[in-house]
Amino acid sequence: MDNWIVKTKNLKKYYQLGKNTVKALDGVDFAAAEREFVAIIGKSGSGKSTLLHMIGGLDEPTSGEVYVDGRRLAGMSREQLAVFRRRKVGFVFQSYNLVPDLNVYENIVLPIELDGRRIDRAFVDEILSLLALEEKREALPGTLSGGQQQRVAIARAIASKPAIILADEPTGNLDTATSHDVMGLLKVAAKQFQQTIILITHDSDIAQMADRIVHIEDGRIVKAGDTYAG
Amino acid sequence: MLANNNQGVIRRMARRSLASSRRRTVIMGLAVALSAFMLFSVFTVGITWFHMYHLQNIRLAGGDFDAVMYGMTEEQREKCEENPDIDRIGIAAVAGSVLSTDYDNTVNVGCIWADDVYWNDIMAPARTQVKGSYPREENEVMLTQGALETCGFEDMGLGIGDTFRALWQDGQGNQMEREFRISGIWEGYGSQNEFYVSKAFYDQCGYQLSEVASGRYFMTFHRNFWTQEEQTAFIDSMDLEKQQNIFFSVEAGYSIPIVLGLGGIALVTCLCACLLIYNILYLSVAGNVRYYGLLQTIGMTGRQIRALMGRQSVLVGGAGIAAGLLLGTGVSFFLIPSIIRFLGVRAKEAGAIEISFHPAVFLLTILLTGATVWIGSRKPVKLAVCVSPIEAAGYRPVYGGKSVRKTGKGRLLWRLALQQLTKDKRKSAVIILSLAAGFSVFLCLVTMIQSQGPRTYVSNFMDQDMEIDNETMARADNRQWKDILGGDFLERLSDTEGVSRVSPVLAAQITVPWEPDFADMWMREFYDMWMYIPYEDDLQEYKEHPENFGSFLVGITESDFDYLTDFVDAEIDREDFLAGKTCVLYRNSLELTDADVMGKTVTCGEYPVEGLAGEADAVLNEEALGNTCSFEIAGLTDESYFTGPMLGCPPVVIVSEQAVREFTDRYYVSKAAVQYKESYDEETESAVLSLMDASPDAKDFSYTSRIREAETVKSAQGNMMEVGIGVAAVLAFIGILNYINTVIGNIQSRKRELAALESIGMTDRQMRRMLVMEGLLVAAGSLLLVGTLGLGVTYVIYQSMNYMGAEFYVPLWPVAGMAVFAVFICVLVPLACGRALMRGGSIVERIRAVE
Repeated sequence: MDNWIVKTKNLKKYYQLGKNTVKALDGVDFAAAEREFVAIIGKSGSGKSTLLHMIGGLDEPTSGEVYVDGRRLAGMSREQLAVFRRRKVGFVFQSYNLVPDLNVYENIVLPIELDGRRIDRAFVDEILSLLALEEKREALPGTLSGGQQQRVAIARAIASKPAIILADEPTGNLDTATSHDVMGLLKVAAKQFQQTIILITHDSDIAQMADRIVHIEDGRIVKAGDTYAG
Repeated sequence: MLANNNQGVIRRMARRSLASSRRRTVIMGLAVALSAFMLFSVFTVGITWFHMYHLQNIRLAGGDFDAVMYGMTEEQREKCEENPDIDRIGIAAVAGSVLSTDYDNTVNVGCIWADDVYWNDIMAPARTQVKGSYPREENEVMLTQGALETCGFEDMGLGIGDTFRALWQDGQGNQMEREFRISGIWEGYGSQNEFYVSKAFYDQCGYQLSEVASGRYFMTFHRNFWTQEEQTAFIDSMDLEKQQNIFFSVEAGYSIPIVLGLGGIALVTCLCACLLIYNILYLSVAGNVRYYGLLQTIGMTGRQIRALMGRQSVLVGGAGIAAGLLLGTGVSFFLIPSIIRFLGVRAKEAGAIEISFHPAVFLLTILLTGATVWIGSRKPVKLAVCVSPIEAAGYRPVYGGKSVRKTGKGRLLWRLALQQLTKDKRKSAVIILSLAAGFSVFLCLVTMIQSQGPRTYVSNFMDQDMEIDNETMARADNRQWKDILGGDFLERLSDTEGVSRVSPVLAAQITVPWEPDFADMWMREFYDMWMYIPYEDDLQEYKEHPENFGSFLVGITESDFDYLTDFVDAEIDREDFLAGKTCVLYRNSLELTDADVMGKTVTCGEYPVEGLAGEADAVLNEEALGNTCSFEIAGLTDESYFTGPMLGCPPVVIVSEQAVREFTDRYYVSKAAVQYKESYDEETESAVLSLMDASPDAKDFSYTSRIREAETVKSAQGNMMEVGIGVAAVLAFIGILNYINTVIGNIQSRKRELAALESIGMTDRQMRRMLVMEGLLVAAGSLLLVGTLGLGVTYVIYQSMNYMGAEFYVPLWPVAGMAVFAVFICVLVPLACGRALMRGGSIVERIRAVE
């Protein structure tokens, strides 16, 4: 793959748990192309979330390399990693992780404000409209349904125009119908704004919406999958 | 229903819960211990102070009484007897005075008749020893060794049963040689230079009990506290005549602010402790809602949860109270004596400070601290009991119950910090209030301690460094006066190294001859106010012999004139005064106003008698008889600095120095104010003292010095500053503990939120800045409260104790230090917590730990 935007090389993450060493990732070589939608599936504890966190710079690998948009994460300081995250990566977590005291709009523009950039209001309005959140602009997260909160999280991930969106079980707390809605919106938004999506899920129905499905087991990629046409 | 004995499991769970949350337990225990300590100390100080202060007052006043009335008519006496507030009335009546003995011709010892109530009840606590018995026969006296020494009998070894002779003067001014027999000797406190005499002696002394000059009625009341209004009402109810007066002893008036002050500190302590205990328990319950929900899920009833938490409070509270009482008892021995001294109890009169440990203090401390723990834990217990198992499973704290919020404006980090402060307003208020309480007490104590000097003693005249008086002028016979401060001495004083200015006050004895306009008006008013005989009785003598009614013409320098004008209501023309055309009169408490005297003329005559007027050896100075001068009266003053060596019946006339010199050459420098180039300069002071010592008239100088006054105040303060800081520090410490606990709880509860912020790109630096801003906002809120409410309360307390009318000021450096400390603490605590949090694992781990 030549046009990759995310790439890992022999990535390892070991944890010491008492006397045992847990190999969360055990030599993962993974790549995702620009504007690709990749779903990583695996059982609980297979290492899929760990891989996502390594790619997002949220956790440090035991060894191996991670490259995102041409940059090597290993040499970066905490400060640089934080800046990298807000500029290059948009996160969507299973538990939304919205700031409870900020309203929908404030949550969405938070990464942009943290970066000290000017808010592209037209762009934010476009996202709000796309994700059907215009009415909820000033609502506090605590008053929204799970699906609505996740849509806000997606909006926040997209708003700062990052190169990649990392979604960690974004539909884990949602019912089936809402899950399909949210995923549909995520896919449409990413396509419209030309972003790469790496999605973690254990729901094969949801994974079917991706361009490519990667299987992971015991910290290793067992099937890298083929890119679906279209 | 069968009783189910589940106390065992509750006990076990309470103990385990306390042990597992050690930090919470220690902080809460510390808060309870500090509160108990503070309350115990405050109450012990209160009780000890009252005990010692009461003792001191008894000794200073020479008896245990609450008010004294000068002269009492039969009607007033009946009123007093009917007044239910009055416990007892004792009489100590002046029965003339002893003027001289064969061994000393300037004795001046008063004769006093004391009735049974005064001698046996009121005066008894001030006596340390009595030998013999109270006089019964007319010639018997009861006296002190000091009085015998004053009479010059120190080497004669007089004792009970011995007799001596002395010249005595009765109420009419008649003098006679009498023989006295000593019936008893007493020792103790109060005035020593008195002869206590019998009722038979009093009956022939020429005084009446109704006379202000003789009858002194000492009263004690049933109630301990009298407000100013109550005192005024009592005085009004007695329908006093012009010369009569009632004085309340200092204690009655001074007690209320002290009681209020100590009560206030006790209240603030309880409030701070209550807030802290409430906050600790509330945070702990709020953070453990799932745990309490779980307990309910597995079948624990509300009552059992209540019992569980109650037991925790009892364990922590009990241990804390015990520790606080122990600490309080131990520290009291060091702390209390200096506080008592600061509150005005002097070692000389009250003796060594005996600390009063009252069982009621222990009980009250336990009760109040216990109540504080109970009140503080009530709400959290309710929260723990009310939460349903289902709610608990998905519990997230919800603040304010709002569903929407307007999009904020301004800088992001400030906005985020402000949101933290405003999202749980009650919690923020508790923190800010708690910190503000500690700092306010500090502000109040520091202000009171720093201003102790100016508030409680009169600063010297015009801030001079020293005032030297010519003591010879206090003698009645003007032939004994010497100009010891004049001429040569004054010059040498001015030339002394370090002295910048010497302001002499000249005094020349004068007569103010009768004339129908001003002199007559003045004397009529004077007799009305001060004399016990009608003006008419003396009018003829005054007209014919004005020399029997001497006074002083006082000459002041130009710089003193500027000071004098501050104490005269009327506008005084400087040129006219300095040119000797006008004068100012000392009002001498007469009920005259500027309007009564302004524009009138006072005529002064040079005093024509050498010696005591009317005495056989007095010499009339013919030359002086014709020497008179007149001044237009420009105003009246109440400033007593310029009154000259003594007050006469006619007015003291204050004029320019030049006017005195032009009028007569028989003037004296009665006093001199000395200003140093550098205030409080010890070297200059010792040079001036050496100059006085070197003078042949060294014994006739008396002086007051600013350095000595400052030393007195300093020694009275003792280590009050340290004690004050200690008291404030304990309160501030409680506030800070509260703050630390809240911040830790707050940051822990925001763990996921903070991790989420990091995950979307908040850098460490931004995180730190946000936490600093949160701290700054709390500091600003607390300091704002201190600056408004705290300052207001301090001002009220200051003024309530400001007997000298000193200007209110806040000591800059200690308060600035406090403000810096407040900001430092407020910023440091969240930073340290945030740092600890960030070290507690990667972002992913922190997010997961909460999930």
